[in-house]
Amino acid sequence: MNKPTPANQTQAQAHLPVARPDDKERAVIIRTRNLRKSYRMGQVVTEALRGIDVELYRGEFICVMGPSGSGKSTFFNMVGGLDSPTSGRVFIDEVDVAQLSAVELAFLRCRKIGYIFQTYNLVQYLTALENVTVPMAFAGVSGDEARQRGLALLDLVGLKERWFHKPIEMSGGQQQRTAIARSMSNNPAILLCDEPTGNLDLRTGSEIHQILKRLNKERGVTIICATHDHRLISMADRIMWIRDGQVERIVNRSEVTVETGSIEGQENE
Amino acid sequence: MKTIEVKDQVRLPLSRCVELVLSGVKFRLFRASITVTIISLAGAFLMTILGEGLIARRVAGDIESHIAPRRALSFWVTRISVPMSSPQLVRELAKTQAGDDRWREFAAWGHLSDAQLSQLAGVARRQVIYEAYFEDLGEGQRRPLVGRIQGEQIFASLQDPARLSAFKDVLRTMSRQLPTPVAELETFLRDWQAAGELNLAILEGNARAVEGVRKTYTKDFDPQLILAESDDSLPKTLGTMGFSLPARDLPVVREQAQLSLDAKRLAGLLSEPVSETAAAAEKNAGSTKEPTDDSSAAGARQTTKVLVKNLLARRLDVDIAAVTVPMFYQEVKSSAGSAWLVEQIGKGRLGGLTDNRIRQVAQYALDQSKLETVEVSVSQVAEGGGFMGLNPRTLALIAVSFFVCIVGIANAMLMSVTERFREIATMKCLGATDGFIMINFILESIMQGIAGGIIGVILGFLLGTLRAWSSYGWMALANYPAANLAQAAVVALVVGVIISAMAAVYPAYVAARLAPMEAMRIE
Repeated sequence: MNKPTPANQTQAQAHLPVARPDDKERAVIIRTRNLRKSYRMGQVVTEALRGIDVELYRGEFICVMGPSGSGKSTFFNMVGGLDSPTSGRVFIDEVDVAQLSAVELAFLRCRKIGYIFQTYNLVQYLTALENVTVPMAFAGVSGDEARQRGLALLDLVGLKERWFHKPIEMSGGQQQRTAIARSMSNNPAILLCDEPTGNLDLRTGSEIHQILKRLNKERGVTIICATHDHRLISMADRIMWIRDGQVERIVNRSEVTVETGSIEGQENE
Repeated sequence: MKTIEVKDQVRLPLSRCVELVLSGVKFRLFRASITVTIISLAGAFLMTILGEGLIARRVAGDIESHIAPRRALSFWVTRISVPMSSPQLVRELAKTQAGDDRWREFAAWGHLSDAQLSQLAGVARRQVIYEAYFEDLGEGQRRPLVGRIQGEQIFASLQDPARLSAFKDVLRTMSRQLPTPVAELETFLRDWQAAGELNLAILEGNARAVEGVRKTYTKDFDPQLILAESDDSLPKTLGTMGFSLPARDLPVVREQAQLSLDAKRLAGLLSEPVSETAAAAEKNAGSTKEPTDDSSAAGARQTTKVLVKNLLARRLDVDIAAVTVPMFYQEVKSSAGSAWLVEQIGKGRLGGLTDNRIRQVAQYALDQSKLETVEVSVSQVAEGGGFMGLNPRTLALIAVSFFVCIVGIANAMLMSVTERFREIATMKCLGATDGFIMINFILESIMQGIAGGIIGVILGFLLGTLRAWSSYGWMALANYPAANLAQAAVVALVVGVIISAMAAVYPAYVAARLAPMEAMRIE
């Protein structure tokens, strides 16, 4: 499965500008090694990821950017344990994802990673509290304990009073906040956010930003966030650009200027 | 490198699964109702057929017990009054077993030994088979083969060697062959020829015996009367003429004959003239306005005679022309009606007919016509053993309907899976295993199956009962096989659940195989 890495490839990667977070002591939580993924569509083989080597650190807030078709989503699937690479490796908390069975993957997704989707993806027929406790049930927590923890999480996102509401009875922002509470239900180390504010207006979007920021700061959750929202990017520790299935560059937040309307990374060096 | 220490991702307890599925079903009530409807239709279909068949078989059994004595009566009435025909003899010979009653009769009439008789019985059996074959052939096939002739005439004509060879030539061209090789037919034809004389001897003996009965009971020869008024010496008397009426059958035959005669007598009462009661006469005079002025005083004192029929018409408030014998039976079947009749006619003139007897006889006579109509329809449904008493054709029909059902449910479930792509994928992101997703879908289908099954069983039960009732009337309800129907209901319910579980397997598999990253997709 692991093809030997071509020498030229390694060299190409080597001189890529890779920023390190300020605190060098931080532990690596996600590491990819020459991560490749190709899809076969009929006769055509599309290479979505063409050798990605990154290290993401525990407790950091990293934004991933890239145009559509850049392989950003594929990268997300890989580091989220949702899909297995064609070659290369993904280590999540030092565990090689490719080695995991389906059940172990379910275990990993249940406890290590929280997912936040652009479309919230709440279960429509369950109340806010039930939605939050679903992952707990998968982790074997149920009954009063689940209820207590669920309410506490809803409190965290400011929805304690609305625990009995169903998704259709909630606004988009409330639904996304419920989704955040749900993603946190098993105390994951990583939050994977796919355009979390993509479907929200500016004001509700910033509520979501605040919650994410708080989770990152207070609970030390690693947040990996695909977004085009400048305000979210301005909160990040690092920003990573993906283009054509490769990491274009990773920069510290301090090295870029976030402007309204456009954002460009400063030229390196 | 670290490894994840996980033996198994936690399995959700079944109760939690059921809870989840239930709230899901409640949310998608319309989609669920499609599956429920399909299942309930299949369940109703199965239950209707099972229920109707069960009732029909019970009714058939009941009718058989009602009809057997009546058949015995009509058999003996014909037996002792009408000489047998040749085809009838062949039919009876084919059915007879060595030593039974018919066997003894034939032996006596034809002065035959057992060996001769078993030879005759063998020929008769083969003859029945060949005759059935010729009868089964369509007109177009039979015409070139044997011409216009029918029945045993065919075998007579085939005795001619020229015709036989022509027959064989035509037979060779036919798709539908004889039930036996041609050589066996030729043997049979020879045997048939030989048997003819002995059969004739039996028939002659039978004719003599019938004549003998006629001579013995010269006064008003009526076979029913002979049987009704018989004493225990009858079997012996008939025995001297070769008839074999077992002594143990006599009471049944005698009782039936008496009932039948009484029924006739009861019907006869309808045209019996009776004197009207004063009040009724007045009413009659008022209504009919007969010109009885001339014999005024004398006429008033004189009692007018009217037929019971008129009284019945008045009692039922119908036109005299509309009064029928069944109506009369129906009326006197009740205790009020029979009391009325006794009152009108007077005990003395009724002969042996008491209140009770009138009711019994009326019921007997009414049953007669009902039994005749029901017997035909019951025999069609009740026959055919196999699984739960269903004949192969019905079973095939049920199987096809179930297949259609499975496809329909699978389709509805697949649509449900497609609609819920994101939900399923999200669940997988949250830690659901493939097994959980699969169990969820199958559980959902099973629960819909139970709901649909119950509805279907109730529907089918009502429908089956209604259909049985419309065909057999009171007999269906009088012979209600409650225990068997409950069994059938359980079968229909279980089948419904199994069908829905089976139909859900493929959609559930599709759902379980869904990649969790589908949750990320934005439509």
